[in-house]
Amino acid sequence: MSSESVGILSSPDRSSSPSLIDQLTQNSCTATQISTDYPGEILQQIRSPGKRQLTIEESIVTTNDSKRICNSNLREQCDSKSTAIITSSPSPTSSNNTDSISFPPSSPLSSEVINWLDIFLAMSNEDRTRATEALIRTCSTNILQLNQIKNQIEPYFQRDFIRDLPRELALHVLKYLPANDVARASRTCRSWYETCNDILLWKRICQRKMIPLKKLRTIFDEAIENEWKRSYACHKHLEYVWQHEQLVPEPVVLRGHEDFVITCLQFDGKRIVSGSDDNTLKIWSVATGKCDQTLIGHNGGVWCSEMTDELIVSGSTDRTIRVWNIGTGVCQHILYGHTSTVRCLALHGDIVVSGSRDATVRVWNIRTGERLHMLSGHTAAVRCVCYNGKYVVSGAYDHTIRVWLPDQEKCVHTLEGHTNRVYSLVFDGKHIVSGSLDCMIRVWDVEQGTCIHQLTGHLSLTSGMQLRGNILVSGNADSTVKIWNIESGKCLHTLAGRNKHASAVTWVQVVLNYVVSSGDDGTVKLWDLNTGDFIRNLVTLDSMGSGGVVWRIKCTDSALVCAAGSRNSTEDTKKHATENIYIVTKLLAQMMTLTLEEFNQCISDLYEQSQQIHDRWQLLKTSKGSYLVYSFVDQDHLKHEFHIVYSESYAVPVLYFNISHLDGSLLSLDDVWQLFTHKKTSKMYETITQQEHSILHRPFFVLHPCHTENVLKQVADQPIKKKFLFWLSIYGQSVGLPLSVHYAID
Amino acid sequence: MAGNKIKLQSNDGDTFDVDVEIAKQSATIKTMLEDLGMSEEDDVIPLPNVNSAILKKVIQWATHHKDDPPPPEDDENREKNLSDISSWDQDFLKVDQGTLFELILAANYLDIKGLLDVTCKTVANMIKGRTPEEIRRQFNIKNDFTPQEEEQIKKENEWCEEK
Repeated sequence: MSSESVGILSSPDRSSSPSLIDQLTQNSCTATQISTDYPGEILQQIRSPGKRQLTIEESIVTTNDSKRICNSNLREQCDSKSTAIITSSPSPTSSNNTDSISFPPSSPLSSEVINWLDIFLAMSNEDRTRATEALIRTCSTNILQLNQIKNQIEPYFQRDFIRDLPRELALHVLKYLPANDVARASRTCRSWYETCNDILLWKRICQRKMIPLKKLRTIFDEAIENEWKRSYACHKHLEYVWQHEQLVPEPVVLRGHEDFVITCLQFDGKRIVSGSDDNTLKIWSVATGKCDQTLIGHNGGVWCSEMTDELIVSGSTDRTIRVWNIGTGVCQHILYGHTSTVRCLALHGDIVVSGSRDATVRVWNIRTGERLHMLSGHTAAVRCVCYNGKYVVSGAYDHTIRVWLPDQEKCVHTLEGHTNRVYSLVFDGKHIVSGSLDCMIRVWDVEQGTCIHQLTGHLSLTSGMQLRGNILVSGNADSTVKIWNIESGKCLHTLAGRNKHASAVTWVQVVLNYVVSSGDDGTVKLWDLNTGDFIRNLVTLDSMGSGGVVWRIKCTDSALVCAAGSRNSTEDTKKHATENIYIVTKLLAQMMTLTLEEFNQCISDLYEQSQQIHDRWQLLKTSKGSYLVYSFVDQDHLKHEFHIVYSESYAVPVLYFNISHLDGSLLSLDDVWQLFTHKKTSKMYETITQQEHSILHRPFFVLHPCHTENVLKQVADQPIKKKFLFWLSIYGQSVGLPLSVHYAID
Repeated sequence: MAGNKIKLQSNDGDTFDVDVEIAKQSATIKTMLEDLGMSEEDDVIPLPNVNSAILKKVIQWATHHKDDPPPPEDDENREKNLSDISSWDQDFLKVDQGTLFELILAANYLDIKGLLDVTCKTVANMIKGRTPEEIRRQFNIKNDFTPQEEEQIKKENEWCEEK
């Protein structure tokens, strides 16, 4: 009977009042029955009124709002509710108090009420209808009472959709909601939490907003398990930091290249590489703010550079290109061939393409140092070059852009149209976008060799451009930044207005959904990419107005590097800055590969284990830091000593070692290399150099940490301890450090 | 072809005469007719998962929407628009949650994309813009988190709840 009446309940066509009261009284009887039969524990899942059987929830129920009744304690409330209604009690709160703990389930109905119920039950359906109508009419004078009745009835008409619908239908509902609504919905109750954390749901949310999956460690790792939700949270946090937060109050200022112009800047999140007219390049560590290496060798100013994980490639006025090892600072190759300044570089895999004042474009292999191809055709200096693995695109002062197939040394298109020097290029494999001194920006099709659009509007030379999909951002010496759609050729936004740059824009970059622009006016500005609105000034140089200039910026999602200086007021703009400052602003705490705390924990643990298995590790604690030492004497009476020390700049452990005769004299470099010649092919071998021990300040051999992060990436999702042991086993093995398997066992 | 009718039978025994074209808005019924070779004449199509009241509503919806163009392919990566429910549909769906619930299940079982989308959107609209407490009140949900869990989840969602 109950299920039928319940089924009828959900039909909008039938008048529900008689059957409702029917059920109500039915259930009140059932309630008393159940409560007497099962005094404490009451059984199973409540399901909303529907085709299913109604049963009572197991746990004692409370809701946040004392006025609410949940479906679950409907039964138990029935008794007191009926009492409330009949006696027209004017205190809704007491009777609606759903704190069942204080409401004994088996509170008896008064005899009057029971009599009344009996009379009601004995009536015909028609009389019941009349009676209910009369009852409600009577109560209608009292709004509180009416509300009570409504509150009583309402739950029957409510359904917990997300919990009760089959999962794919619940998700079908949720997919219409934006992230913030899904997040709030997940806080409702356990079953909603579970469904709202569906990984595909969040994947879709991220994809809609073009948020990539964050694989590396984030600050949300502990809090959020769902990796897409975590990526979303990170993105939101980053956005907030970019838009609102005061940048790290004391931005790290790196001084170097004093008195010389900084000509090029590379930044990978961990290291900054700056090239300068002082003939050097410098590698700076973001973590420490120190200059790790100065690359010396060029005989002329360095005017362009490229960077990979391991190598730096630089082009100079000395007509050469040099390939440097980032870790050691050693110049691995010098590429000869050009007969004038090497002005621009493009890197793709192992191939570098160079453009020169000698009007040629050359192609080289940076691993082998081989000279591969020479592309001749331009009739004036080549100023900019791009390479995507298939096409080389070069722009020159001869007003043209040439498209080459390097392997055939063939020029497939000469793109004419500009009426002055070409200064900048971007290439996405399909579209070529060129900026020229003629103030125009042109969009070309690389296959057809035709000009698709001319983007007019700028009043001067475009200094920098960036392409994201079909959106082009251009920074111009006319002090504005423009956002274009290269499909339509239309200018979508001009970033100017009250907060515009006061003078030439020197560089632009697109980060997240922002445009970051730097200017001659000494500011770095943040704009909204989609609306073109100014958001705020990220950097304002103190020397602004008196010549402070931001030459160049490079951003990652969470950090900003600026190369800045001051122009003195001479006419000759080639004469340079009096001071060159880097400002590194770390916007978000970067997740280091291993923090100092984690390192200390690892070496402690290792030491502990070593004690247990009677191994020889020693733990030394000094004011400069703690480190581990292991030593043994081999069959040739050579003493091997290994130290594990923490590297601040790479945020990883480093393995130092020395091999000495028993009289204390160290083996020479050659001798050490002899010992390891059999390992020559291993990558690790390449990284053996001699360096000063960071704590003991005497020379040791070291396996340079430049590769460590990559090595650790292989075990990125392992716990810290495992990562450490993994590192130790690989590095230790290369240099003869014995490591017992016992360490791997927990 | 006009006036060709089919008999649909609900699980509680009621039969409804419906135009074939209207009935075919349900991909399930369409399949039954076309692929399973059920003749349109005398046979009655039993729908064991739908009761008479709901079936009546479904037929009402399908009849009104009989001239609709076929719904476009779902672009998963486009922002979904919640405000494009026609006023007729809005009125049609001014029902209690129990009915709405049954309609979703029926639209799913009968595979009527338009009805499924609009009913789900309606539920989504009931969630949108609401705090967790308001959602609980809306759907009569019990908060079964411990205070510590609530605190933790609140933290977890901090950034995700930002507009």
